[in-house]
Amino acid sequence: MGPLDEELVAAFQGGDVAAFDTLVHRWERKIQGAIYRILRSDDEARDLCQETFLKAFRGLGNFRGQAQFSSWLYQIALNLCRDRMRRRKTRTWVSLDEMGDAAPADRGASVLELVENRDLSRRVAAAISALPDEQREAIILKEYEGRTFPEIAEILDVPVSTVKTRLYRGLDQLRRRLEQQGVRGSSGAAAAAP
Amino acid sequence: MECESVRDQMLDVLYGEADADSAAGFERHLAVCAGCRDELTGLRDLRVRLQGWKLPHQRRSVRRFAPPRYFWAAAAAALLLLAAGGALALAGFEMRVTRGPVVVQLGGAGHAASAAPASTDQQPVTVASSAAPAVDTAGLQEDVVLQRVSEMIRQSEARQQLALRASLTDVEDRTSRQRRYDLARIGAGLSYIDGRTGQHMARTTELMGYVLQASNKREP
Repeated sequence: MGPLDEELVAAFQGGDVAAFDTLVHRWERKIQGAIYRILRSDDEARDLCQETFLKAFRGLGNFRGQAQFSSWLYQIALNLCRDRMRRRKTRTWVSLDEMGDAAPADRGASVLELVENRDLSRRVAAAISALPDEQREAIILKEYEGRTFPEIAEILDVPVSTVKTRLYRGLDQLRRRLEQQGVRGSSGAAAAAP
Repeated sequence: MECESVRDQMLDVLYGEADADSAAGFERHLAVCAGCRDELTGLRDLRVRLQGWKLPHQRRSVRRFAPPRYFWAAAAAALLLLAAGGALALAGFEMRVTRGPVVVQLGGAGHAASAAPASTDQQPVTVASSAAPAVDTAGLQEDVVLQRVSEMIRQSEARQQLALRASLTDVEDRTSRQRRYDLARIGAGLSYIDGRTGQHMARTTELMGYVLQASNKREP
């Protein structure tokens, strides 16, 4: 367990640029993963992750700890994602990156398991992508980023009750969509509807 | 109505964020409400399915913000050299290289002094200063200086070679990992297609068998 984020932020504000590298190292994968789940493009995820940290680097001098550092980072990343989504308008095509939603190959898995995992990964990704933006953000922050409800409220700048409503509606829609597609839950595997 | 009012508590329980009182209250509701029990089970089940969305291998996107440590050492060395050069310039440092001896001089040209060359083949170095008596610097022959410079260049090249080799090994390693992963995915895809084709063929053969049997039965 290294120094706390707040300590590293204070060190950076005191002139220690290397402290920022530690923060990058700590949060880069999480932020990149969250962006990937929102945009489903590896290139864009890397691009926006870089931009997120660049913005953070420029703005950290004025950061006064009004929110947690990580919440602030997620806020920057989400705003960049929203801008990118607005520019994209509608997505009517499936990119090659989306085809890469498959889970990394597990050395111990059988071929059938590999195919099933890939299928499940793709179906879940597609179902989440089809949700309204607000619900998708709430689900990604809660389910995949493991943020608490108050943290998500901080990131999205809405009350906790709104976060829970968005999350519940999103989960409800997801459950229906996945059931329609015949994705079984108990085994964690995917199966196409007959 | 009551079920809607406990929905927030259900989410708290689902994600392990409920405090003791809230959890106990929700448990009491669950004991009498089959609908909420089913709902909670369904949401837990859904969470298991959602974990099936794994991220692909990520490549790092952010480079270091702070300059590497040796940067400061190099910067300090450069500053020292600059300062030393400045000091020598202020002291009126002058160095002449001719066919004769190398003459290094501090304090202006008027104070220059030179010694006779040791031999006609070599170029001796003579240091003269207005502040200090002449020092015999026979050890600092030009050849020696050249040798040192060559040695430094050689060491620098060796370092670069090492760095290049490490970088190549890294690239090779990553390429190899990616290739193994790609091959596994292709293999999985092919096996899947192969399996599906086999199933189709088996089904077609079975159907053909039925058709043949049926046609045989109809024949008198």
